[in-house]
Amino acid sequence: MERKTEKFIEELKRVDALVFLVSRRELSKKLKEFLDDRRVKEVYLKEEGISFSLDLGDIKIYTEFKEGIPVGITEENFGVAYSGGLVELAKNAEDKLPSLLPDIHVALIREENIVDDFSDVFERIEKPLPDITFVVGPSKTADIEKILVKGAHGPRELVVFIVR
Amino acid sequence: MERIDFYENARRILANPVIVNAVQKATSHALAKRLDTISRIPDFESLRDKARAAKEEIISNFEDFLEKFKKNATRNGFIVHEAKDAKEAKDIVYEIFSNHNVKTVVSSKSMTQEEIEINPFLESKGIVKYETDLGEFIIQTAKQKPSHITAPAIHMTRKEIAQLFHDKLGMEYTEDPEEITYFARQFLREKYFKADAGMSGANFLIADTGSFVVVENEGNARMSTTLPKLHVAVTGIEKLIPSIKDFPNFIKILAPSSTGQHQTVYTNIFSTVGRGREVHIVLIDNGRRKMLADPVLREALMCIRCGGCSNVCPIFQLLGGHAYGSVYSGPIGIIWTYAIFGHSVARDLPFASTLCGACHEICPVRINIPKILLHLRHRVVEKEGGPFAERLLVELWEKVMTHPTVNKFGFRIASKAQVFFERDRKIRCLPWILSRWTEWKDIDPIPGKSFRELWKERQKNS
Ligand code: SF4
Repeated sequence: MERKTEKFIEELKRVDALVFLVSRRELSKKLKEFLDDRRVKEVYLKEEGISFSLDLGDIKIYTEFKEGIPVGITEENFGVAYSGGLVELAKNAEDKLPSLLPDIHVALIREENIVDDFSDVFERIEKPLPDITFVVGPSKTADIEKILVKGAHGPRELVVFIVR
Repeated sequence: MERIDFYENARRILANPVIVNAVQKATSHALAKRLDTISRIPDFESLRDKARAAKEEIISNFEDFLEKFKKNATRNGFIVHEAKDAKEAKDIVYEIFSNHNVKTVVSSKSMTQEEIEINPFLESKGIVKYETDLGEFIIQTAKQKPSHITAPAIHMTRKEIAQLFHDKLGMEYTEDPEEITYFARQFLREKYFKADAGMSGANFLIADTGSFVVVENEGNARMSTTLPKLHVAVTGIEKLIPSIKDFPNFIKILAPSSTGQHQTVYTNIFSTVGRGREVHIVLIDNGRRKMLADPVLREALMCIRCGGCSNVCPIFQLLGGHAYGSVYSGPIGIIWTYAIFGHSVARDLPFASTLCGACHEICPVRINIPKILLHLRHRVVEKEGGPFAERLLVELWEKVMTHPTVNKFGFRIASKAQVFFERDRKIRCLPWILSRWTEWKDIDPIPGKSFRELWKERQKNS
């Protein structure tokens, strides 16, 4: 495995992300297995944001959010090995919602899009800049007696599929 | 604003062990995490230097960078406003809101919004604004003030929060932090979808791309800035950094110095407006240009509001943020409060420091806080002449120390008289003006023989 992929995974685990390393061929199967395992019947995603062809069988795909959909799926533009950061580029606000509204955020990322550091990200994004969001782990708070609670306003869980 | 009575605040807080314990826990927790995190960042020291250099560049060429930011932000489609003071800022926000017929607002944590006291203002105009950061939401519901920059509700126990949410919001009583958090999550979810506008602050303004940055952990800033169609960011003009190329250096030092995290959960960089939306940036001066023109205070403009100096400050560790009586607390908060709210409000504050230097050491952009505090003390004493008792003591001391005969007899008398005040070889309680001194510390008694006498004896004997 490449050094930066290793570091990326190490950092992701540090922020409590669940990580799967899969081949492109087995992505749909592994993703479906994960969703079935969690008894997920509905997912929310923006098709134009995802470059894989996903076959999720009987799982219903929504492109508009509806309260109660447990999983949002996104493809990440970059992964930053330095901090385990997932980088999402968005031209419109609604593109940001699949990684924000549902309880579980499933992030897909191509291994070749993992970079070492932040500066690599900014060098690769064309100007004028879109909106850029760095996502590092599931949302969290420690505002009550410093006790860590995962899932403040955003997802409670982050699941990352690295596709090679 | 009224004069802040630091001493009175301190007395009140010290009488409340809940606050004292909570603050100690919060600060030591952040410091321990910081050490652990920076041990994994081998170039941390040079990142600090680079960030400092970038801020120095801003300070020495401020108006140019601000112009550049405004030009680029406008090109990005943001509507940029400038406000010279708090009143102007509030009027601008209100005008935007009236134009859009805004009735409810969701807002993510912003010190600048607190600085201009926008909440009571909007309330008076009939606009409902929800603070969405959990800690801020708690203190808003309790009608209190934040006690720590990154942990605003740290002074409250889970019991108090549970009771508060039960009484005010109808939560089924539970003391489980997770359940309380999920209750707030559910409560605010609805508000995000219904709100007419979202507000935020900004941690950074990037001059060369016209972008602004908001960092957070909870996702509430993301919600507030994506769900409503109108986004108003209110921020101080000092948040500038020259280039997106500098940004990595800042993002790498901010979270470790603050909560001790490697990076915050979300870093939101805004550079576009997007379909069907409107984004306003309100840039606030409110005394910052005056700081810039002041050779001593200008360094404080480099602050990136990490809160590290508070965590490490022995005074803050004991008292927390409320003692400072201002939105800006801790060592750097003293300087900001003095600069923004003025001498008459903040004249006690420069003395609320041991000048131990820990804040300077921890500050990611290496602001020499103790030096500035010492300078502010000087200003206070120049204006106020210092307390009468202190002046009298210093003058007396000067007399005694500069006249050998007075010195000799003075100390002799004192060493005899002190028996009335001595207990267990310490002087714990002196009369009249001297009581101000012994109220806070015990002093060693004057020894029976002075140095001069000992010296003479020694010469004789040898
Ligand atoms: S003065 Fe330095 S340590 Fe204190 S909050 Fe500002 S940047 Fe952080």
